[in-house]
Amino acid sequence: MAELAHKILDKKSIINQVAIALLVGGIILISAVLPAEYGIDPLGIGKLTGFSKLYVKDVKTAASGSSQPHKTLLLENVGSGPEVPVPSAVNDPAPATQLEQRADDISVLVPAGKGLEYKVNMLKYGTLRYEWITDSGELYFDFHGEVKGNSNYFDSYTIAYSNNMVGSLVAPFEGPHGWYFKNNSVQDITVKLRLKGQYLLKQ
Amino acid sequence: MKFLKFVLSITLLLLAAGGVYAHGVDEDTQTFLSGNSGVAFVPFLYIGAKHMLTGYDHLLFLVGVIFFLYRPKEVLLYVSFFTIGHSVTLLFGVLADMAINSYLIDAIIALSIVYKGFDNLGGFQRFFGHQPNTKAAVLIFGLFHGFGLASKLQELSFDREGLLVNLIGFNIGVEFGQFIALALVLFIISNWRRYPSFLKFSTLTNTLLMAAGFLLFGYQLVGYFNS
Repeated sequence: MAELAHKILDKKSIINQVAIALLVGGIILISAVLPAEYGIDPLGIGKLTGFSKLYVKDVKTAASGSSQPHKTLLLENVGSGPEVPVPSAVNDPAPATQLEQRADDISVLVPAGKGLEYKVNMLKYGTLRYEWITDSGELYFDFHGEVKGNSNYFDSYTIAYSNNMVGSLVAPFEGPHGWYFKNNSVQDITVKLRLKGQYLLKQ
Repeated sequence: MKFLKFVLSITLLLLAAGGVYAHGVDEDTQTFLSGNSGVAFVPFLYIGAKHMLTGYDHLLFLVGVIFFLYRPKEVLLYVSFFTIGHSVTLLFGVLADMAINSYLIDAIIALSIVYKGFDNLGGFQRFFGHQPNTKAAVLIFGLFHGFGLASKLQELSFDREGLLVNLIGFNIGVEFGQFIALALVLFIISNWRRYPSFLKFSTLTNTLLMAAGFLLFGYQLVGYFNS
């Protein structure tokens, strides 16, 4: 291709320019790009300048982000399994009067890598509307109910991974109803719950 | 004063290119791609164009190639050779399900920036007695670029249904993006050429191009060995 007429450098200057380019590129690579992008910091410059901090931040968002593949949930995960007998209390009649209507805002801290349950006590056919959202990242959860006085048996209503959930429930039997939350990330997650319905907070 | 104006326009261009992704397809696009099924010509057209306009390695190569090219015919030739190159490997790569590691492809693309900077300084003329054919170089760069695009699209495992139409849409989008990027780079460089600072700073510009090429090369190579 025809190019604009221009002076070309002599050999020595070209070698100089290539050396400068290598040096400049190399310095930026070692001091900024490698520490920030890969957390590789051979000379400790990244730590000194703070470029390394970018990398740590990156890992955290990746760990709590939704891009991580989840374990596939199966029908077999639902409830306490076939070996646990269904207690007869499931078939008890509903009470004549339900618990009084109430509303609560609750914060639950789920520590990094830990799982815990949050439940409320409900009567048979009591109603509940709920909303929860995490401050950052997703949780594995099992929304389920247990029959009063029997901690072996439970039935799962929803099992999923999410950072946010809303819905309503009519309790199929008397007992504690609520969530098992599992935090698989490397940082603590706070769940903000809003409840409205016929229930009692567990003591 | 004139030089100041020029510096200003360069800065504006750099700002416009803010939030760039080397050969990547950003997260939103990725969500679309993996959720998409069937024919989606226009969205793929858009993704193709966006890819070209936000890929800094491509823009840098463009600056290198256009730097001393001034006839419109020559510029058009450049575009055509690049198009032929990347179309062939993009279509072939995706349809034949051929994937090459994108870090390696991007490393080669980074080297092409170094090559063009070196060439502009007169390196090939001085050390080897002649300049490699720019048309051939652009064609080869296009071939690699196409493989890069193909690998990136394949990583997203989108639907095979409507694949060909979507691919053609993507390819035409790449052309659009290429055209817009070219217009911008051409506008700035041909304006700059009218000032004495163009030749004064041409060595510095091309050295910086090489530096950027070396930097990107190291970045991709470390990424390759790290993954």
